[in-house]
Amino acid sequence: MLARLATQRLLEIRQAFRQIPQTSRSLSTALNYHLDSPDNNPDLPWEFTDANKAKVKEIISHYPSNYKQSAVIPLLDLAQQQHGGWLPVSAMNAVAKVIEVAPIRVYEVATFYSMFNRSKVGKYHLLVCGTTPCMIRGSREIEDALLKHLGVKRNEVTKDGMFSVGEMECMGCCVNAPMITVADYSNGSEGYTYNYYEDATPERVVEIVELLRRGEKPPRGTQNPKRINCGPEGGNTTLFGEPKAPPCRDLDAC
Amino acid sequence: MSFRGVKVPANSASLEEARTRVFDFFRSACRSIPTIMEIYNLEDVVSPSQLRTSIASQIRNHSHITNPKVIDMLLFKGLEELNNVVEHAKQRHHIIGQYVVGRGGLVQDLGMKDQGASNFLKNFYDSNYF
Amino acid sequence: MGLGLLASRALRSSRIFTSPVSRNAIVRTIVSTPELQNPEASAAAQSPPEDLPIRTPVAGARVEFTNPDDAIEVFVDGYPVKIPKGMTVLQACELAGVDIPRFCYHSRLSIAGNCRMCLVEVEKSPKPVASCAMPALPGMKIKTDTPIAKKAREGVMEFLLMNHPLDCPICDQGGECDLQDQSMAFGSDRGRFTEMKRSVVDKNLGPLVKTVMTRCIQCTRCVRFATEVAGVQDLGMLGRGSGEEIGTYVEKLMTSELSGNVIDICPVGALTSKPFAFKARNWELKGTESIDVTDAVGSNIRIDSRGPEVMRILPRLNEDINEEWISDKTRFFYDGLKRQRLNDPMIRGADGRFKAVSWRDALAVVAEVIHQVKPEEIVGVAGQLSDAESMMALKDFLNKMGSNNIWCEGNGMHPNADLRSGYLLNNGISGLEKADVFLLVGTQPRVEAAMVNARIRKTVRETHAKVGYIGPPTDFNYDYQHLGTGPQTLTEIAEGRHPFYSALSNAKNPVIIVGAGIFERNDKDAIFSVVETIAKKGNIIRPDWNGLNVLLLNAAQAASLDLGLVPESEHSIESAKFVYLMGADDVSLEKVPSDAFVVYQGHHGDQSVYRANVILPAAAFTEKEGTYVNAEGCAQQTLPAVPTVGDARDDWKIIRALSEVAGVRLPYDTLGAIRNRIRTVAPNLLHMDERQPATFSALLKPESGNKTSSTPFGTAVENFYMTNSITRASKIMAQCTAMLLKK
Repeated sequence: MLARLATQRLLEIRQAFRQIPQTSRSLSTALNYHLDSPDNNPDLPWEFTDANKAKVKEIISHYPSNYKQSAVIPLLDLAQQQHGGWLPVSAMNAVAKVIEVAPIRVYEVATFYSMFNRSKVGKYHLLVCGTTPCMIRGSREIEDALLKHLGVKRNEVTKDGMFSVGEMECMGCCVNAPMITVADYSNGSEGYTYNYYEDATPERVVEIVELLRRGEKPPRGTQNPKRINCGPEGGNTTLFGEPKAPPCRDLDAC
Repeated sequence: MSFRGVKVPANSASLEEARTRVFDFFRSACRSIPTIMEIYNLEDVVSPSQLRTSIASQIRNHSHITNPKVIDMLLFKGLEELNNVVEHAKQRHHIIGQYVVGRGGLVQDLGMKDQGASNFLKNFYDSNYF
Repeated sequence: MGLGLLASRALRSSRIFTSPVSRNAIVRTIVSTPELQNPEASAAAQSPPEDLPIRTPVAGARVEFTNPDDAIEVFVDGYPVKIPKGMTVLQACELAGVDIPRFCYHSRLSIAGNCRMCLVEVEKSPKPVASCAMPALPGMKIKTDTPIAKKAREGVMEFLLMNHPLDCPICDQGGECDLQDQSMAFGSDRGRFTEMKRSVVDKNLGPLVKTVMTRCIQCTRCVRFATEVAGVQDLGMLGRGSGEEIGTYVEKLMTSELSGNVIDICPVGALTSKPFAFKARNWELKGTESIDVTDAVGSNIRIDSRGPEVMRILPRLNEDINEEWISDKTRFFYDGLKRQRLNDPMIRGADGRFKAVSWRDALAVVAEVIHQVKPEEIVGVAGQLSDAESMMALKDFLNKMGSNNIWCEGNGMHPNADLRSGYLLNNGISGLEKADVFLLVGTQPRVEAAMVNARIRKTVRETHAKVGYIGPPTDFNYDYQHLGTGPQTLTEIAEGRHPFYSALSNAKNPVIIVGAGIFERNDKDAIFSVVETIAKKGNIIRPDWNGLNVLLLNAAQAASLDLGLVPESEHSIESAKFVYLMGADDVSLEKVPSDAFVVYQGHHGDQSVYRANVILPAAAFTEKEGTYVNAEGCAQQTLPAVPTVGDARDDWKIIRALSEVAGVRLPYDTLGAIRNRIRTVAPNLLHMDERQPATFSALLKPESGNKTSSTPFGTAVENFYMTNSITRASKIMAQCTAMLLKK
């Protein structure tokens, strides 16, 4: 009896919290199927640039010749860098041709990984970490500040094509939470960077955006001036001495 | 309506009893032939003896049945039919179609055409399934 | 047993005393059977069975030990079972007579192991294992009905049903749905999922396959089927997590000749038949085990009918012919059986219009005309859908009328009916799997015989067999070398000048497949002698291996050659005064003189009806019992599934009746009698489902004197979807032609 009441209550509470019908939270920037549009359709020609063709050759040389398809992820990454941060269908087809598999096998990979963008992104793609540690430390506010400052919705590109904001899963910077990542596609695959900005605050991320807009490069890593990398604020408080020898046997000596 | 006057006869205990009942039925049917001839105005198409033969042949169609229960059932149907006929529940062409012309149909020269034909061919003209 | 039971009881009661089993009232559990709530206790309670009742393998599963040393023994629920090394746990369980529930596992596809429905308990394994992907190891103790296994299945089923819509009442799979059946057998009676169910956009896969992607449980059987068996890499698994879906990404129709099979392998109602959608429930249908006649393969099918209507056609398992697949043409042409049917005997009047008459009159007219012409002016042509019995009757009838100009369309004007090996697929369809080199001469198996092509593809995939092809450019769904287009390439190979010659002569089991399209060529004999030269040089015909094959096109061809339907003279049709067409629609009637009397006996108003003077309506293959011989020489029977249409009659009955009206009565009145007659001509037609190896090798044939011409080989089948009168009348096939064929 008590149990039923308790479950009932629990259900009620859950219902109350879920006011908006929950849509499936997709980290990907596009649908799982393709819709033809003027800037994204299979008829558009797409090829690796000459400089990238050399890179393609190099990447493929890492794999045995009968396992060319293993190069699909690095090649998609290269294609994404070349195409300003996103992968049109024709780019995926080009990759499929290079590694000699059916295009659908490339689509499968590209749709699986949320870091492959299949719709247009800005020159600077800002990714806000939304995983628990960052969320507790205020990543929601950071995202709100970014969206408000840029006047866009999530996964939308600003009118000048400079910025877009997305969400991603944990990037392993929990010690410096919250963090954002800036994928810089403004200089093609040569000048491509993927920098973390940690210990972010809503004010600081807006500053970072403005710096990027002016073409400057804000220093990556922690944004808290009092911290060095992931060290504690105000310098070390412990571990002053020499580190102890490893507790296991010395593997180099073996 | 048509069941009026038709009583469900008691079950026949034996084949003998059923047999007597059939004869009784035949007799009563024969007795009603003059009435039938009159109400359906059949004088110009058929004679009483022809009708008698027709009734007899219908009974003979089931001559192979030996189960008293089945005979009782057929008898009941026969009684019902006789009742319908006598009560003028039918029309003239029903009687002519069912008892005067019979299954052969109005075109009488069919037998001539298929004369000499094998059973296979006769069946073939009839239907695909034989 | 008694002792064990006692012991377990004691154990259980002691547990109750020693450990206070916390009946935690707040934990809401869905397990309805109380013993499942405490798996360990009841696991201990189970004692190994001592006197085991006998179990039989599931679905007649058999095992072949290629190497007796590889046999290992495992125990399934205490039953010892011997299996060869490399078998999976699931297969071992099947052999032991335990049917493991599964969704993603399919014996003819690669193993995916992603549905987790086949979880079983293995002793000393810390958690349940997916039996379909786990190789069985010697001495493994597998338990399939322990509480742990049951609970695992129940849990998996709950997860699968989480995002599955509960729309069984409007789902076409209802009644034959694996998910439905297995949730009844292994699932729980309630679920705990209260969130929103996901929904997925439906995909357009063409006119044959209907998709309701929300019902999909991501078993990936269709993806694997398309990739591995059909050879069209169009389907894939897109996205991840709960957003995962099956699709083509870029909208694309499934342009495979085997695409209909995804309907069968889909365990849920995500992929269903579009033409069959909302037409019937499977329990209303009457199944008739029959065979397919749209090509020469003779795929085994089940005709599902309701009343007088064929509702759908499904494949039947036959390892030697079609495995468990059928082509789209076989599966979906059935709506042609309802259109353009001839239902009354008809005579063309003076005004050129047909008038329905009685059988008496129609037969009388035909019998009168056939007596007015000279015997040598009588010509009979059997159509590609004719059964052996009616061809026998036609031949006997026309022979009695004094004519011997009878042939079956597609066989050409001078067929070789003397040596059975000269027109059969001597290796057999399943025998092609042993081959390591294929040479396809003037044949496009993908459109001519889709099931044979599937077998070649299987071989190529498994053993990387080489395929050489001579003929016009065409589509293949496996790797092949296009060697040339005409007979000169063949001559080059025969003379050893072609690089493919070495591949052929070095091969262990080489196979040459000659297309039956060559039968229509004038230099047919010359081409065959060149092929035979290659066979001789390449050691292709050996006592243990006859690799010289002919791939026939039509269902009637093999039987007609077995029965000796060979025209006496080549130009008989040009001088014919009386032409009897028994369902022959692909014979060119331009050469028939305008004053000739043409009788068309058949079931569809197709091409030949335009020229016919009298129409005699006949039964289609779904409506009659008939013997057909497939390309490998295996006799099989169709069975009537539905009644004939209108006033139509079985083919042999019409000829038998006509013979009597014409005064040359044929001596058989029943199908049995006509088969006795066939026994004297071709006894092999009466041995159902048997392949009689052709005893004479083609090498005995005399060398042909004439030369090969340089005309390249043509395509025998222009349109895969429309090859005979039934398929030409089918709306679905017309849609397929319009949408799927590449222009």
